[in-house]
Amino acid sequence: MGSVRNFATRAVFGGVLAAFAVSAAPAIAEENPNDWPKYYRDDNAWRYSPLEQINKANVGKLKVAWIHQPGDIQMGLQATPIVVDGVAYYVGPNNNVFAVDGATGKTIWKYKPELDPIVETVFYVAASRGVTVGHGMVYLGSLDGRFIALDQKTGAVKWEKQITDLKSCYGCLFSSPPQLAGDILYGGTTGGDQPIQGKIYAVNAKTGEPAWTFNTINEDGKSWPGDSGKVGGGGAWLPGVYDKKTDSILIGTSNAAPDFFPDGRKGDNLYTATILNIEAKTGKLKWHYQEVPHDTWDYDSPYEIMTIEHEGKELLVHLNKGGFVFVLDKATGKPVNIWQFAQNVNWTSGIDPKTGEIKDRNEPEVGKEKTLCPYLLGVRSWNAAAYNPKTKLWYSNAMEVCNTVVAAPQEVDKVGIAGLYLGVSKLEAVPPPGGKASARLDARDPITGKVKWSVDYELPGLGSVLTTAGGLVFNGDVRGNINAYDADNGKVLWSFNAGSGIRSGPVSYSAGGKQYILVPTGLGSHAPGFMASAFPAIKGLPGGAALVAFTID
Amino acid sequence: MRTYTPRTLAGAAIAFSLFVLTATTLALPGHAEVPATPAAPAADAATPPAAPAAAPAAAAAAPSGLPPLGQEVLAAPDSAKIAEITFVQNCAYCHGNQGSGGKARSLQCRDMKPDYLFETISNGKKRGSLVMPPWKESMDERTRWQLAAYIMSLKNLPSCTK
Repeated sequence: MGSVRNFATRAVFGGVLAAFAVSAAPAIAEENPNDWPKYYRDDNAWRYSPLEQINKANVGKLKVAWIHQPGDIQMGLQATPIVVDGVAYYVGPNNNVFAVDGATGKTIWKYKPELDPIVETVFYVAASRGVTVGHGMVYLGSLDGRFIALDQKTGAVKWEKQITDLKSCYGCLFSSPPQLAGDILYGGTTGGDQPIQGKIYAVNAKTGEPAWTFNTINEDGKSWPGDSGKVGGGGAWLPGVYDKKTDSILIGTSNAAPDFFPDGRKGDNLYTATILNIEAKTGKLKWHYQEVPHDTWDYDSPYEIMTIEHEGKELLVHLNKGGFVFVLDKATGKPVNIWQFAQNVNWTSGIDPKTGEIKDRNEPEVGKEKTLCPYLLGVRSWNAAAYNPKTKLWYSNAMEVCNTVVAAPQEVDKVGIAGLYLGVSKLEAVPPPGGKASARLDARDPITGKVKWSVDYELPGLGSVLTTAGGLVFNGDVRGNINAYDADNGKVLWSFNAGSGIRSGPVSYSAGGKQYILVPTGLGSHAPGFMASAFPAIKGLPGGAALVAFTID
Repeated sequence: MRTYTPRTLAGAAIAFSLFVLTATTLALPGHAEVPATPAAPAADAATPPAAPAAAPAAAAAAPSGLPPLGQEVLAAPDSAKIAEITFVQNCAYCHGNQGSGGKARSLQCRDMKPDYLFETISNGKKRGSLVMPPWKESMDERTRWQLAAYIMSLKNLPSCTK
């Protein structure tokens, strides 16, 4: 953790803050301010809690209230808990689901599915990013390709549906919770780096009956030559959001495969690396915006899609792994602005902010080593940024890392169920040319990218950021440090070390009249392994899994 | 369905059906004392460049007491070189370039036995939060022995003598 850098004068910002504090934000949060009812808390994907009992003045007194341990620790604890009416629902490694009393940490019920043994053989083993709550049920996307609905009160299975077959569709497991869009429950699978044809699956949320399937590989004959689309990757491995007004699902898709060797898939490779607007009722595509046509760098588009009102218009703010933030008109999907977030970008000389044209593409080549920036994990990992309507700032982790790549053909028949379809003969995470791998937490204007403050990190933050009406920003690091920052200037107001790193989504809720900060701790996943060559200090950091609740007495 | 990319991997000619090979693997007598067989035919010209310089050392270290295929592969001078691209495509994501280490320990400059490596590659490993999936469903037996040869060769990297 390092220095704080202020980029605007306090005087100017003070005035701006005062103005924003009274401006009404569009559709802030869901009905009950005490809850964290959805993955991103609301369908604006802000990761913002309107609670302010814990605030700048008292956050220094924050203490552990309770700890809940899920038992298994494989791949760490990656979930974002859901909290409704004082009960926290979360999933630990190996799809173990828990309902926990939010005031005491006592287990109310637990559910352990019997998983098909095939789950032990896949690459993205054990990890799960959460559950979804609605219609009196708790929904899980399972490691063996099922949607499972549990009774919210008891944890008993209400219905379950086999959605994918991992034997014929390698890697087609659900690592993220399926999301609700009214009566529709939908979700995509992990697997963009594997030789699959990724799809988004929708069922009736009340019964589990299939509703529609959206193929993220466009089969119109133009986007994918020959049979390349049959193993073209795609899918959608993170939760989307729902716009109730227009019955629209907004969701981002995975990369095209093989990742770095595109010779067999000449074309735009729709709908990979794309933001989709899908009608929830029918599964029909309303509009799409492909951020990276013919992606050859693993710059997919699955991260959170924020809605922010700006000058009377609803805009989408979306970070692509390639280091750019795409600001789109929510109604049309057309770009309003595209700004560079990563400091080290060399796969393009720039993206036209109005047309989205990617200029001077610097693609991997066969037999030639290139250092390409950012690296395949992106300028940020998958855990989400946060937006605070009071400060009007976007808070996001960032890292500056590149990879050396030599593209190579890869025999698709030889890619087994645990294998990846990357198309490389060399791949290594390295510091930016002439520089050093670095990480930071930024506070920026989400529309223009203007930096308000930035805090250096020794190692990248790999968890989601949380912000609250108490004027706070919470962010964890891979060593297990959890910090509370002043949302206005990045000053550290509170710190706690949990013993193992943060790879999950901290949330806030209120139970029994008290506000809590709930942090799933425990480092895991494959990503720290890949980044170790750029950040050697990450080697050997302990794993774990513990849900830690903090409050003020 | 999965045939549009060019076949260029060295050793591709040995492509039996994955699952047939797995069954064959299970049927092999374990640790039979069999003299080393002659080296397998040389890989085709598409063998990737820049393999570790230590492949011959791995061949020289091939011990007896291994299954015949293991002995054959470990005795073949090009096994480590053949496996380098397999390692990059399947293992480097977690174990680092040339096994430099990810969350798990570095594979370089270590004296590891081939049967231990083969068993670990085949059956995977779990330690705390770290999970390595089993590769016996994803790679044929020869490929797994070649990977063992490659990993053994990493003990002879120039950096190991510094």
